[in-house]
Amino acid sequence: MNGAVAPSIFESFNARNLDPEKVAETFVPSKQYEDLIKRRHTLIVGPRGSGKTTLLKMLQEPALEAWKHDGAEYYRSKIDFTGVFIPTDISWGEQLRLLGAESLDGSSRRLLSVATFTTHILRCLIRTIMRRRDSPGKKGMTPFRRILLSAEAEARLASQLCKLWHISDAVPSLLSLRQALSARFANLYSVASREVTLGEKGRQGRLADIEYLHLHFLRNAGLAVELLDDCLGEASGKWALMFDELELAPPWIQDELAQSLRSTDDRFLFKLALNPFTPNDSLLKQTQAAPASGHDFDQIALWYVKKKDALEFCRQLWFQMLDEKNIRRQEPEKVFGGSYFQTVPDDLKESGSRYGPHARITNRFRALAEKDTSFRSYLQQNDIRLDALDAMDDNKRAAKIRKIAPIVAIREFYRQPEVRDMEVGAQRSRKTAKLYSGSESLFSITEGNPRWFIAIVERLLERWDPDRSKKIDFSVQGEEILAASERFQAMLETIPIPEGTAPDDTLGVLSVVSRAANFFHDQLVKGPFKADAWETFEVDAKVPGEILAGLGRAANAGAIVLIPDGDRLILATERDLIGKRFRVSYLLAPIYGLALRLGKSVSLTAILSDKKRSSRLPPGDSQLKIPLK
Amino acid sequence: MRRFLMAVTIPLVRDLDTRALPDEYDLFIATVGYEDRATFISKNLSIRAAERIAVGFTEKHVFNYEANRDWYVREKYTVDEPGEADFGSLIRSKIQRLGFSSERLRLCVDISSMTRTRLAVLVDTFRQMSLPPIDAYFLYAVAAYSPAPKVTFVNRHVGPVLPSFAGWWIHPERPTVAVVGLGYEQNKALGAVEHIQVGEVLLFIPASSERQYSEALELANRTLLKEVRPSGRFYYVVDKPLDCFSDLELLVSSLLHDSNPILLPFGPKIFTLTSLLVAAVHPTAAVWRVSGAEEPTDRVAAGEVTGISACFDNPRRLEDSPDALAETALP
Repeated sequence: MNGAVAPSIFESFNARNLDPEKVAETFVPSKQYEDLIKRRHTLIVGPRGSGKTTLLKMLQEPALEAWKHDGAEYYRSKIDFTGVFIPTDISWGEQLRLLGAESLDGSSRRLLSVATFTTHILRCLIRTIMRRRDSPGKKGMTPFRRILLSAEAEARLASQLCKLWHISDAVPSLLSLRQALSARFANLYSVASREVTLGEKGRQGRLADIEYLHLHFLRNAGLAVELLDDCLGEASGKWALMFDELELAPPWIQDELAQSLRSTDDRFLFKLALNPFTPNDSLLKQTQAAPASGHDFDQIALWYVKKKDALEFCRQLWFQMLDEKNIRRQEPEKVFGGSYFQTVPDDLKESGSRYGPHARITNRFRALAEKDTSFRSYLQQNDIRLDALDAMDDNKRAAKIRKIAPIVAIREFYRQPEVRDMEVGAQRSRKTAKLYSGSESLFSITEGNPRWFIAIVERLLERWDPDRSKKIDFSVQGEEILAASERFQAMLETIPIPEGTAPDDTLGVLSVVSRAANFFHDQLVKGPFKADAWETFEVDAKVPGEILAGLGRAANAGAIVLIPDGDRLILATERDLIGKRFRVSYLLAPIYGLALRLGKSVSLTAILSDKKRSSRLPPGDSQLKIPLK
Repeated sequence: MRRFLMAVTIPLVRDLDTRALPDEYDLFIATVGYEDRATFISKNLSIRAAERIAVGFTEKHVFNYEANRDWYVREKYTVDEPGEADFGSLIRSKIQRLGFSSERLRLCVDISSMTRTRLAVLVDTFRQMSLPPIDAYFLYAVAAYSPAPKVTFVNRHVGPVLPSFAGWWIHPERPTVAVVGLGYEQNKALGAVEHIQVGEVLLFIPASSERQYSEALELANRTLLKEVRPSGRFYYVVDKPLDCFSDLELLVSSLLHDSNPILLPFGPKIFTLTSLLVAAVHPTAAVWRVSGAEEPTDRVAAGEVTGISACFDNPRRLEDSPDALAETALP
């Protein structure tokens, strides 16, 4: 975009819209990155925003050269291939899918859209070669896998590639070659247009005569690398073809790629980024069938089941964001404060114990006991005396107190009109969001999803004056958390159900998630107190097929989080959902009033057959009216 | 039916003074809708045409639908109720028939109660008809304020309004920019831009003298409005569609140099028409729609009629389009 203004929330949200150098500014290497840099074919599986694009972009040469992290040198020394980033997005996927729709026959459409994708891949490869050849543009860049390509050698390479790729009107330079490939994009559109106008008669022959329509991407990428090696007089090394958001490409392009995975061309690695669930199982079969020796795929899951796993990643990302803004590093607790669910250190100072008679947790238990007979019964049945919590055996306290503390917090919060430290008379939604303020809750809500984390924290940093060293007010945190939840909810509401399915509003992505979330909230807050509250669901065999499709879309969007069962394969088709266990995304917790923890599992059929639960949000302003039925 | 990538006409868009409309048209296309305003223009502008058709629907016969149909029948309009798939061929057959006896067709369309998809089909049909040239006069009865419909938000379609409005990116790796015409459905625009994962959002906001409408619009889009810088907000006046077209066309033309624009027209139908005309001028830009099951809402005309005209002449292949050439030359 034009202009030198700071990136908008949308730009900073999505690594797709950022230059690799910009991605490198806040990149924090993770275990997944460590796995990705291996010289292996890899499937990177994760919902939207889980960092698939970021990881792939961080294998590109400009990102690696610009990266200033403490560990950058180590990773640069470990990565022994050149990453070719091949992006796709929803709108382009639609253009490929609709090219010639309702006008051209299926095989012509397939030919044209595969040719378009091939052109895209070859152009990405040329761009990558050009970057390796160019001198570093900025000071402070660390050269990575540079090549020395003389002007003569470049001219020879470009000429040979033009000949191979049936380009006749380019001068012999890589720049001209790249531009010619861009012109081919426009030309492909014209070819499709002309074919619609000319009609079916003679089409096969006409298309057969256009030679570039029949280039195979991998064979031609291989030839380009071979020619480059010849021009350099040495091997340019391995190349990783990195396909981002592959599920958005038309199925026939996925099929084409699936076939290519059988290639034994060992100059290429494949790094494929995908959603967890796919309706197309050909790619799945190819990647799981280990088609040739040494060609089996590693799978990397990009989500965190337990919040503690995400917290360390978020903490590192937080420091990286501070560094990037030249703000002195500060512990997140100092800036965001403690979470409502945490035991605060002040309790130790004030009462000498986290479980003293006036400690926060004791007060909260007492407050709930005063207004909840079922909780009083629970305390009695379990012989828990609130005036003697600090005298309890530590093991018993872990089993009886700490385990239920998050449930008590949620239950006590929603069962009373006011909460300590929060202004009287505030609207409920604002209070609800404040419930999830504080570093631990804030970080948990982002699910370790870099896009969500950056979106929320970026805005909070804009509203914080680090020189005054003051905490960011809970209400400010609450506002940004709620805005992020609302953006997420609006996106979930927008995901379409397939055309042709019954007009049943339970089939929408948010509808199923909403039912589950309302169910969990109700039994957390309204029903008799239960120490083992249901907070996850299992997809049982009775769940109808249409709902399964909705669940797959919900998982791909990140609205529900798969809890893996051992080492089973991560990537799956929708029918494999049966038997899988999920929790609702913590980013929806402020809207539905959920605890940020894993709980007991209930069957999805039990949730769906509970008629008391509405699948819909109440009409009106969801910012003002939290859907508490 | 050929719907995509024909040699298309780039329209010439002009202002339309609704107080000085042509005396007679070859064809007037009205809509039998359920809204009260579906007959407002037909009743008040006494439009004279060689042929007058009123196109209805196969479903949603609620509110004023029956009364509107009866009125059109009484007034001797040809009333037809085609399925959605047949609307384009109905219009095409009318135009083809009239085209035999005329060198240049003058068509008048009341878009007030027309669906967005039909509006797209209409613009697409006009730009694909190679002969004769068409002068289209689009009229729009501004609606009085009514509360936003209850959107149940189980969307059936989020994508190009028609395959022929999908656009064509020469550089798919460039950021997608959403140019959103705001409506007052709760967070509908926000959901769409989040779904598409755009890199930037620019807003076209209808400036209304109706305080209730402005408030409803702001409330429904509060989160989105907070995310968009003031420099990314453009205001348009519903009764000045040519100004809106000019601003939008200039913006899209500029965006095409370094990004991939998608137009998302929510809000008044006149903005949808404007978006379609801009995409007809710049065929590489896309126009999308988000369609959910909405509760039908009766809308009454406020009394004001506005419009815009477009001349569909000189068919040109896409490769002759300045956009295609300019973009191809970009590195």
